[in-house]
Amino acid sequence: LPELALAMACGAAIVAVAFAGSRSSTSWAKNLYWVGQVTIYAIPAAFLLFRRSILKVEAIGIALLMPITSYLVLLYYSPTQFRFLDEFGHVQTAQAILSTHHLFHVNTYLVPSPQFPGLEIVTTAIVDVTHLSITGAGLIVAGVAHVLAGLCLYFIVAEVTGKPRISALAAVIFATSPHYQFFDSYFIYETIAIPFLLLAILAVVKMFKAEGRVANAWGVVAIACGAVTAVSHHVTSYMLLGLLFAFCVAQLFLPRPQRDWRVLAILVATAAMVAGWDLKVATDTIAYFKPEFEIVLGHHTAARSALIGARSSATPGKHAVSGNPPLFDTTMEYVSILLLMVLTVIGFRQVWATRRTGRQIAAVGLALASLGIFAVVGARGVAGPLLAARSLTFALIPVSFVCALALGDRLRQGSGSSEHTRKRRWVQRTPVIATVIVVAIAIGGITGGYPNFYSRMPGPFLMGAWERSVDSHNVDAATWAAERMSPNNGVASDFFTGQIMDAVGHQSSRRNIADLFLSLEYTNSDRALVRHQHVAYVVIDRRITKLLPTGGFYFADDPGKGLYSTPLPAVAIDKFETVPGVSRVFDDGTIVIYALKGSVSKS
Amino acid sequence: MTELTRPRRTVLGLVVITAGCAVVAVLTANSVIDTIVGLPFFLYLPGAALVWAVDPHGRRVSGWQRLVWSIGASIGLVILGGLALNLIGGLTRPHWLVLVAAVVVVLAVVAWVRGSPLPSGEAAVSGFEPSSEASAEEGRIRSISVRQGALLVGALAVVAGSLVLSLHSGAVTSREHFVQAWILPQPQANPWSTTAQTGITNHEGASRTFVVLEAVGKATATQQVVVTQQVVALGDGQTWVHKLTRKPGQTVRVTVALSSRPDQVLVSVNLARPVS
Repeated sequence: LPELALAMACGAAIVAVAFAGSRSSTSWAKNLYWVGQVTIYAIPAAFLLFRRSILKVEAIGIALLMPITSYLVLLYYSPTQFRFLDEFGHVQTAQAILSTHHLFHVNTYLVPSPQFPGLEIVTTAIVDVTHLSITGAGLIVAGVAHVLAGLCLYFIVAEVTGKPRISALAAVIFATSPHYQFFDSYFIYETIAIPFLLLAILAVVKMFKAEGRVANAWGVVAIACGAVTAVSHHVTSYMLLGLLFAFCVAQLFLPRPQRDWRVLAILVATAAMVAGWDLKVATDTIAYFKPEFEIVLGHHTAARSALIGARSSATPGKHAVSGNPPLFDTTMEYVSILLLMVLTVIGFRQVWATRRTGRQIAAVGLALASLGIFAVVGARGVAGPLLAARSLTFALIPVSFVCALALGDRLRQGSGSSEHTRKRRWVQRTPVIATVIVVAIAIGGITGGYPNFYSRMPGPFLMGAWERSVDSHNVDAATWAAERMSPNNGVASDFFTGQIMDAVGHQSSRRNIADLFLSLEYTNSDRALVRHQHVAYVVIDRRITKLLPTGGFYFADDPGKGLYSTPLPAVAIDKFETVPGVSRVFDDGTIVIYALKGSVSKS
Repeated sequence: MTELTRPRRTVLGLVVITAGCAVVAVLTANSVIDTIVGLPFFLYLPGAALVWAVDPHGRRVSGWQRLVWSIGASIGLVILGGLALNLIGGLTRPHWLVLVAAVVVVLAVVAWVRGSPLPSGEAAVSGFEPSSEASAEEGRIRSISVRQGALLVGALAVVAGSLVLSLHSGAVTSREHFVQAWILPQPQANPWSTTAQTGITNHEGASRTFVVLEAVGKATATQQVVVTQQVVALGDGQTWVHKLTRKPGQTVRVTVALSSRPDQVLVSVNLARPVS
C-alpha cells in the first residue's frame, strides 16, 4: 500500500508539474498532464487486476487513495481560489449566513443555493469556530465529502459482493466519471449531498443483509441519510429516489423469500421528505428547473434558434471560434461511454444469471439501476453533453458496480481455466486489456468533463473559458462592487464578468443584452434596451476587444455564438465614453464600470 | 452499570476530547489551534458519539466503515443541527459550541448505558471487519515496516512539494498587477448628488506611491476647473478613500498615476453631468 500511495502521489505530482508548466505557457505541459493522469488511473487498476490476491486493507487503501489523489489534482489546479462560477454563488450564501446567523436568504446568482444549505451550514460552522476563510473551510469540507463518497461506494460494493478486489475496482471506475475530478469536488451543494446518497444506499444494502430489529434500524438510518440529502441538493435527492425505486423494482424479479419491502417504506418516506422540502422550503426549485425541462422538451431550443436567426445576419467565418472540443476529446468521450455500456451489459448479465441464488436484492437493484446509463446516452442526444456528463456522476454509482464485476470477475474466472493454450494467452492478456479499458474510460471521462478542453490546464486569462476566465481583475472588481455598491443593481456585461458580478458582487446581471455591445454606436434601441432591462451599470472587460471567446460566445444568449472570428471592435465599448450623462465610476485598467443613471432623462 | 467496558472508555474519551476542544475554542483566538480543535469538533466527534450510541460493541459496523459512518454522521448532525439552530437562536459560534457539546454528551450517556458488558458467549468486534469471502483475500496490516514508513513519508513529501509548486507557480505566473480607482455619488442612486466618494486600492503586489488628480468643474461654460493633487502611499491591498464635493451638475474627473511616472495615467474615473 505505501508503494501505491507513493506512486499515485507521483502521478498527481506529474500533473502538478504540468500545471506549473502550463501557467508558464510551455509546450510540454499538455503531454505531461496526460502522463500524470494515466499514472493516477493505471497504477491502482493494474494493481487490482494483475495481483493474484488482494488484502482487504489494500483494497480499502485504493478506495481511499483514489479520491484523495483526484482531489489533489483539483488543489494543484487552483490551490488558493475557487475557479468555478457556482462556487462563488455558494460563497455568497455562506457570507449571508455568517453575517446574519440565519439561513434562507436571497442569492443573486444561484437562487436555490440558500434553500439547500447543507454545504454552507457545515462550512460556516467551521468558519465560526476556526476563523478559517470560507475558501479554506470550503476546500476542507468539499475534500472530506469527496473522499467520503469514494469510500462509501467501496463499502456498498463490498457489502454486496464481499470481494475487496471488485469493490476497489468499482471505486476506481467510479472515479472515471467525467465530473469526478473537478465538478463533484467543487464547493457546490452536490458535493456534500453525494456522500449522503451513498450512505443511504449503504444503509439499504446493510438492511437487506440484516433481519428483524437490526434491519429496521438500518432502514431508519437510510431515511435519516435521505433527509440530509433532501436538504442538501435537489438533483441528488431525486437520484436517490431513482435508486431506491430500482431496489423496489428489483423485488419483482426475485423469489418471494428474498424480497424485503422495507425499501418501499424508505422510498415513500424519502419521497415525502424531498417533496415536502422542495414544495414548502425550496420553493424556487421548480422555477429553477423550468428552463432545463424546456430544453429537454425542445421548446427553449426552438425559441433560442428563432432569436438568433432574427438577430444575426452573420455566418460562421473560416476562423470562427465554435467552442467545440477537438476530435481526440470527442472520440475518447464516445469510446469511454461505449466501453461503459458494453461492460454494463456484461456485468448486468452476470448479476441477472445469479439472481435466484442467495440474497441478491441489492445486486439486482444496482444492476437494474445501471441500465440508467442508456437513458443518460439518450439524454445526451436531447439535452446535450453537459447534462449527460452531469448525469453520469449518478449513473456511475450502479454502473461502476456492474463494470467492476464484468472486469474483475471475468479475470478471476479466467485464471482458473488452463485447458487451451490459446485461452490461457487470452487470460494472461486480460489484466492488460482490462487495465487499458479502465484507463481509456478515465481519459474519456476527463475529456468529457470539467474543466472544458480550453481550460483543462491552468494559465493566463482566457475570454469565455469558465475556470480560465476567473482572475484577480474580475474577482476584485466584483468584490469592490459588493463592498461599495448597493446590491441588486441591473448590470449589463459579458457572460462571465456578469456572473462574477452576480455571485461575488451581489449584483443582478441581465440576459439578452448582447446588442448593447454589438452595436458600434449608442443608438435609441440601446437606450430602449437599457430602460426595458433596468440596466443601471455596464461592466466591461476590455479584453473583450483583444481575445476571442474560447467557448464560442461572449454573452448570455449570444446571437453571435459560434460565429466570432475576430474580437469585438474597440469602438463597440468606447462608445459609452461619449454618451451624455454616462459616468465611468470604476477603472482598473482592464475592467471598466459605467453608470447609466445620469444618461436616462427623467422624462 | 459502572464497569468500564471498551465502549464506555471510548465514549468517556470522546466526551473529554469534545469538552477539551470546546474549552480551547472558547479560550484561544489562534486560528491554527482553533483549526486543530475545530475540524474534529464538527467532522468527527458528534458522529462518533452517535455511532457508539447506536452500536456500542461494534457488531454492525467496525474498522474503516465505522470511521466513514462517524464522519458522515457528524456532517449530517451538523447540517440538521444548523437547521434547528436557525429556528431557535441562530448559527453563532457559542450556539455551535453548546449544541455539539450537548449532542456528544447526550449520545455518550446513551452509549454508556448501552455499553454494558456483553453476556458471555457474545464477542465484540474490533479492528477490520470479518469478511465472508475467500481467505485468499483476507488480511490485515498489523504493523508498518521502516521501509513502508519511509515510502509513506515519501508520498507525503511528494504531495507537499507538489502543493508548494502549485502555490508558487499560481502566485508568480498568474499574479496580476493593477490599481483600482472609483468614484461614486453619495447616495449612489442620485447622479445629481453634490457629494461623492472617490478611492483607490493598490493591487500592484508591492507598496506604491500614487499621484491622484481630482478635477472638479464645468457645470456651466463659465465655471473654472479646480484641480487638486494628492500623493498617496499604499501597501499592497491597501485602500485610500476621499470624500469630495461639487456643485449640482459639475463634472468630476479623477486620474491616478504612479509617482515615479506622473505623466502616465494608469486609470481614470469620472462623474458626468446628468442629462435633464
